[in-house]
Amino acid sequence: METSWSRYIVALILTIGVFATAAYISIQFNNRRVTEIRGIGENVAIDILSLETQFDLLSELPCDTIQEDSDLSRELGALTERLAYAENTLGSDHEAVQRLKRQYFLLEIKDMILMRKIAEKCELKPVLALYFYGTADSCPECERQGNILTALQQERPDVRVYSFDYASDVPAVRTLIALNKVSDQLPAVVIGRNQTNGLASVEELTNFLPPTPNIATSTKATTTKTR
Amino acid sequence: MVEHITYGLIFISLYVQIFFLLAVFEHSSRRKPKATPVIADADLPSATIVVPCWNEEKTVGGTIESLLKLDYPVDKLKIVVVDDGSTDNTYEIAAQYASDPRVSIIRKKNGGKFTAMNLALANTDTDLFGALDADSFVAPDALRNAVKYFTDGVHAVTPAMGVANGKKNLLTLMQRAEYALGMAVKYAYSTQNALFVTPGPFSLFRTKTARELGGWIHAHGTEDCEIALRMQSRKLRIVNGPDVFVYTTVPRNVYRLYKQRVRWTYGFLMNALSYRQLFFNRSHGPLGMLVLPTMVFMTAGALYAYALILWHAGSGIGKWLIRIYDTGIHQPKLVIDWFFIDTSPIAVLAVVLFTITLTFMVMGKRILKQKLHSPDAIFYFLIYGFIAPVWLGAALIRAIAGKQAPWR
Repeated sequence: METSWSRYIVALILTIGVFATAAYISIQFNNRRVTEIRGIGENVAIDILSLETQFDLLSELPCDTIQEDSDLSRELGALTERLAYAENTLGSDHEAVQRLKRQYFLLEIKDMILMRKIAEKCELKPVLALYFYGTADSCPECERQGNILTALQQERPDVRVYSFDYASDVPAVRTLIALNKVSDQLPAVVIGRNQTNGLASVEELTNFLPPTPNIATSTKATTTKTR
Repeated sequence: MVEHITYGLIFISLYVQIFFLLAVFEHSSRRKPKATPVIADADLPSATIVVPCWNEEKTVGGTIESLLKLDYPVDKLKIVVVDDGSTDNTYEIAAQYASDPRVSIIRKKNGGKFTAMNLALANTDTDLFGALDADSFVAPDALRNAVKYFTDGVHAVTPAMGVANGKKNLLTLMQRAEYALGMAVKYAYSTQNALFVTPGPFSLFRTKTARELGGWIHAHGTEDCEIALRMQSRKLRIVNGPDVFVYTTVPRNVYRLYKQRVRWTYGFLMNALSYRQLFFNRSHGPLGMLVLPTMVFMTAGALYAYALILWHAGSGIGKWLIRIYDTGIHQPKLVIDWFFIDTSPIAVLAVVLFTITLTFMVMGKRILKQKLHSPDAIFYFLIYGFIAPVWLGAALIRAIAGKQAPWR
């Protein structure tokens, strides 16, 4: 029984239509992801600016009024997770991902500088860890190192980990690498004056950490939402 | 490269599904609802139903009893039980029914199902000829419903096959869902004269046609597939009767299921090779242009997809184990967030494929009058897809090696 070509053609058109719709849905979701990351990045920038301003305004405030800004930590964490997922999904060559990564690195550096200022003023010893990673090809063990650092943060919530792509061309990141004399053997983790190159376990990194938890890092006022 | 192959496989699957979905919708919208024609007893054709059996002592009695309960004139129905050299009590059990005027029992040396059917075919004079496997059971109205499909140009009618022992265990439950899906697919194929199997349980033929075809042959243990392809090669129409209910006993353990499916798949591949002139032959419609090529191609395609899934699953498990080794009990928090849901085109297309498959399954359940809310579909989708590629692979290897798949 011959079937007219029309049914074959209609089925083909519908199938192509389904494929096109699937591609469209995927693109729309990715655009929403980029928008969300951008939104979080803007929130983080505002939070940092707010913290800096309050720090300047309240420079005479006693240190015992300073508390950890959990909102900023959480938002930075959310930004990290989402940016990593977007990079995996869209690829590190994606223009929006590259732009967001640059913004993210700068926000991290600003956060780090601010934490150091607060710590210096209040004579605190913040635990700041710098983590330099590469691509899957240049650094096969970087994924494991990332998991280890996540586990470390779960064990020691006082530790702030700042992640940077070693190959980034952001001048501030290059400066950071030069200042800390980070070698190109990745993954690299810098905690204080200590540096590890190659995969470092939770135990190895914990040896570099001070024993005391709980470091105050922001003013009470920042517990009030600024947006 | 992997992505291109995956997209290609998805495209082909989707295309065939959409094609036959359109065919079903068009067929349903074209068919005018009318009262089921009631054929007077005097006008009903005579029919012979052969029950070929080999070591079926547990079920043959039930099979014969279901045939005796057929709502059909006594003088127009013959039931021929052919014991094909059983070594158990099959013959003795069947002989208990010999007193019924409709029933005759033949005992012969073991030669295979096709020899039993040919023996009965050679000794019948009825208008229609069919078979019922000795582990299957017909509904009382099955034969009466089947005969109305023998309109001009129709030479065989296939049944609506359900599972008799679906509630036995998880495996039979999954097969019940599978048969429902298969029912809808057969119905869809039937609208386009694209059926390539006349199932053993209660497929009916015009006796004249079966004789002219020369009866059944061994056909790699799948004579039901071979005769259907032979009919299709001669453009003899086969239709499906969605109200011709028959229920078959399915394998209850993985090994038996595996053996059955290896035989079916191997048999199909070898018969398809024998009838390769049908492939991409437009004169044979969607059977030649779509069904046969995709069935063969997708045997390998399913294996490829399975290997891909295994690779990803293995990779994921490996990463999980390494994470446990590196971080101990520290696992990332479970985040339920739309952001992290896979919305790649492949994931979206997989959802579309699943939805269409589910649509066909619901269609099949409605035809078989099964409950829609049964959990069999869940087990089918979750588990079946992981065990099916095993027998597909085994059958493909046998087909390439030319090694026959045993019946039991």
